[in-house]
Amino acid sequence: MILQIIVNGILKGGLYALMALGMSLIWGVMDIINIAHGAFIMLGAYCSYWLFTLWGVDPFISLFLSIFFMFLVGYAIQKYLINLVIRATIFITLILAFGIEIFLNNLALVMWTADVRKVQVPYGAANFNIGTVTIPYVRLSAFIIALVIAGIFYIVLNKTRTGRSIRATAQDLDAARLVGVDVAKTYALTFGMGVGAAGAAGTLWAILFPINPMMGGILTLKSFVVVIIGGLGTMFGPIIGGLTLGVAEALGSNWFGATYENLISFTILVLVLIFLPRGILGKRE
Amino acid sequence: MKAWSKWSKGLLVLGIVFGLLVGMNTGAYAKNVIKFGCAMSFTGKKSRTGKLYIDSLKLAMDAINKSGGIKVGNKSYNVEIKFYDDKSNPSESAKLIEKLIVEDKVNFLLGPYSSGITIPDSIVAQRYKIPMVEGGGASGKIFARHNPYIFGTLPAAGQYFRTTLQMLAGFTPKPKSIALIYGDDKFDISVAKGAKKIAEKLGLKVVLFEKISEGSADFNTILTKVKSLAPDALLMAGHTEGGINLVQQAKELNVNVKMISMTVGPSEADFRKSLGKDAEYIFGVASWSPQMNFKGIIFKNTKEFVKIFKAKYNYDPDYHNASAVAELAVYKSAIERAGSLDPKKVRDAIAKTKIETIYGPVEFNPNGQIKGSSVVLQIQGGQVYQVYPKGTKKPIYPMPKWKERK
Amino acid sequence: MAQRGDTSKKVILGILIIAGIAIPFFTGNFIIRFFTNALMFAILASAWNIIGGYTGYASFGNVVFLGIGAYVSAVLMEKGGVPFWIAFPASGLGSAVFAVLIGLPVLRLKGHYFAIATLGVAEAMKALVDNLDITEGNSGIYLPVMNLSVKAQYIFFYFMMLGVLALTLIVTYVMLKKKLGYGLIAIREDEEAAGSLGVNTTLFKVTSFALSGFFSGLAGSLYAYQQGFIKPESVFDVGVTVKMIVMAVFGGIGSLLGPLLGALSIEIISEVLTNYFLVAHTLFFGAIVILAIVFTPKGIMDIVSGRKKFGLNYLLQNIRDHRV
Repeated sequence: MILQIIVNGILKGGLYALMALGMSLIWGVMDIINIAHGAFIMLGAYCSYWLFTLWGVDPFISLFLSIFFMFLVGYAIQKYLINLVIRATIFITLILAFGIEIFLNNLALVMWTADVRKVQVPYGAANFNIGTVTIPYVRLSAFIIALVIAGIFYIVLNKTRTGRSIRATAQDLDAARLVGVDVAKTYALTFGMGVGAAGAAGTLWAILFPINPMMGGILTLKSFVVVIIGGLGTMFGPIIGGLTLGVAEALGSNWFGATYENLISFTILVLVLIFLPRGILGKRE
Repeated sequence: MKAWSKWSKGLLVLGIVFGLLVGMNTGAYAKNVIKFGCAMSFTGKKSRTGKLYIDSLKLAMDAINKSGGIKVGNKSYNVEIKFYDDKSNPSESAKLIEKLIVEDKVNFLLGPYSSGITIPDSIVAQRYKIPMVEGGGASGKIFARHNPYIFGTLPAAGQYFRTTLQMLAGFTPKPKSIALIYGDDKFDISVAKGAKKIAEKLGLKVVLFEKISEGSADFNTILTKVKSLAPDALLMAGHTEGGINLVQQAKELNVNVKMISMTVGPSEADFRKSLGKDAEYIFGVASWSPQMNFKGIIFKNTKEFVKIFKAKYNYDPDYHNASAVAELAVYKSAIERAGSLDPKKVRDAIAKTKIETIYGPVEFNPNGQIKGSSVVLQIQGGQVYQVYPKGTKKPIYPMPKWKERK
Repeated sequence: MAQRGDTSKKVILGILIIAGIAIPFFTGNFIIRFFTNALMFAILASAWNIIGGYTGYASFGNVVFLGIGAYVSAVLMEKGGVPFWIAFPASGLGSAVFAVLIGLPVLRLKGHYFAIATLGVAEAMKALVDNLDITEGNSGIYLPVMNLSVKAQYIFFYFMMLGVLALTLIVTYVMLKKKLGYGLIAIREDEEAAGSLGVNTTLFKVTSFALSGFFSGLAGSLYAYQQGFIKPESVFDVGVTVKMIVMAVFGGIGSLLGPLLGALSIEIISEVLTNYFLVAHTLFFGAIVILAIVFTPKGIMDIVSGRKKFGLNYLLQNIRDHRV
């Protein structure tokens, strides 16, 4: 049984990692804490839900549409909104993100009501066994998608021209501008990528869990925990953070009881910040 | 000079602000209208269930007004409900109840949705001695203080699973063990504690008795425990989204029990839509089901209510909807019996209520909560049927294993 | 120029004081309750301003002090039978002590890390209270009922809130004139330099955090007593933290009256919107927050102090200053 619980934790960790990847990228590059992250996950989930419900598009195909659509949304929001205030104090971007979050949540509420919905595909809960351990396919694929997106981010950041300008901008905005980097566009691209990843998380979420316009809040909070545990500045931080959190929650709720899940994760968050402020994989000062 | 002009500007702004705040609700006040006030969740976390109450209350209001209104002495009054959005927030809600009483001068109050919001609201109602009939909170906490102005139309928690357990104990071969999981809300806790006692009396062993957080989406650990303990039935006292997650994750982890039953969820249309075929065979408990047939005050009988409701809103009503209709039925009967709009007299009449509604017979315990019972429902072929005691269909037990379904 | 700013500040303060005292005698209970609630947010935003605005530490968990204050009162009064006059200061002290205990480790963190750590503390406390027996967990806890007429109760709560707000502002004002205030601002501008100049940064930061906690705790106690029943999800709601920061920013961070103005204007805007739009009010509210942040990031105080001429150019200049 304990083996199954650890496997559950690992798979849940994959979902957490997928959720947190975009937030980590945006935070690491632009120093923006994106409070609206959960709202973007919600939009991604609805994107796949409507494609599935109206035209029967399979969620694993709409995954790509959802990523693309959310990339555009993120690009536009950064270009026409956040870029306008990005050099003000950190509160300003924080609260702008908050404004965006309540705007999106309530737009969704007004358009689609608060009804609980779910993408109901026949394979949504399909699974296979290895020995006595049961593994659901969709959760496994969430894990794999998280790894793939982390890999793509890694390659984009380290091997391409765009990636070099992103990294240069993150290190020194003025210097990057001096050598001719289009900072505004670089920021918009980064935010778009981060929000696109949130879109992917949303699609997977809609297959596994019921969705509604207010679902984002707790996901934003959990993403914070994952990003902090894993550490900023590397694309594999969220993976490590997600796995740590997933397994800790699974074991914790096994030993102490299920109501302790949040107490465990936020206590870990505070302890990691106090003792390992740069996270597990973060660079030491 | 300059300072003076600033003063006058400042005062002007202040005046405008005041005008906006005070003048907002001085709308025309027609005679012969009984005004009800209701702060309901139009937005926020509770807004999905909130909508069920809003739809129902509006429908019942129209039905009363069409059939001649409420009679007080020889005069008949129309019903008007003033709604506000409490944003699913208890402090907002209590503030709005204040506003309904003081600014809108409503005659009577209708309750909000969920126990956590109902309690602060009922405290305000008590301060002003205005009765509140609520159909959205069942927690024993609401009635624990013996607040004389609050009446609830959802039955007490302790006995909720009784019918389910009686049905279960009657199956052959007789089931031996059950697992009970429950939310950390007062209502769910009392449901679970009551069920545990009843189960043990009926000779069913409770092999797992575990609490979950109200908003939790993760049932993996609990389901893994259930799988290794292999009880005959899995009973959950919780909320709709939790119910959807439980069933989805039970299938993901291939957890097979002979029966899954839950308090809230199966009766709601969203539950069946979200789970599709996986919702089949799930049992539910409710204080009401659309297949019941009771004579009513506002609607002729349950059948007619269900028909009118479906025609207007295009979804199946569940017990939330019916309980909201009962709120207004209680008021109609109490006001007519009191022959007055005096809050104190109407309160006393409510306490003596003994009527038939489309929701079933309504009679209140001394603490203000309805005397009620529950029926067992099961989802069969995409529809909810009452299966016990005496239902339109027979319960299907055991439910087929996940992998053996088509 | 400085004089112009000073006059308007005095004018605002004068109007606020007169209106503040007069309101309950000319209005009904709802307006009193509405302003009691607005005053609570003014206290929370002003208390946040001490740690967030003057010291420069963006606390994202200040709601924890409200929650602790509320629960200290609830548990003492309901379980211990303690009278309100003892529970009330105990709530403030409880929150202040908690601020010291948490502040010592957490205030070593900087910037976003501090913000997230405080957020984590608040969420962990909510989860803890959810699981404790003495607080009756997620089911919520009642407080004793007050034995006064409705009007008297509301006037009582109104003036208590007003009193706590006045105390908060006076203490902040006095603090700013003393070594503590200079030290905090020095920490905000450059913590290392402040340290090397002999400012005991740890002591100063913890004191500032504790003050912030103390006033929020008092507000929490009043809130709980007026509400009569509290649940963890409502008094540890992260949304309340966000709201107080939005109010402080909206009014003007790091100015004495900014958070108060921000709190009053945001409460009034959202009340009016709620009245006219049953469902879409929060949507419009979000839009207002977005526009306000983009066009007036320095807050209302920057406009009313009259240092710069207000107009289209003022709005666009803010964008020119901060865009890339």
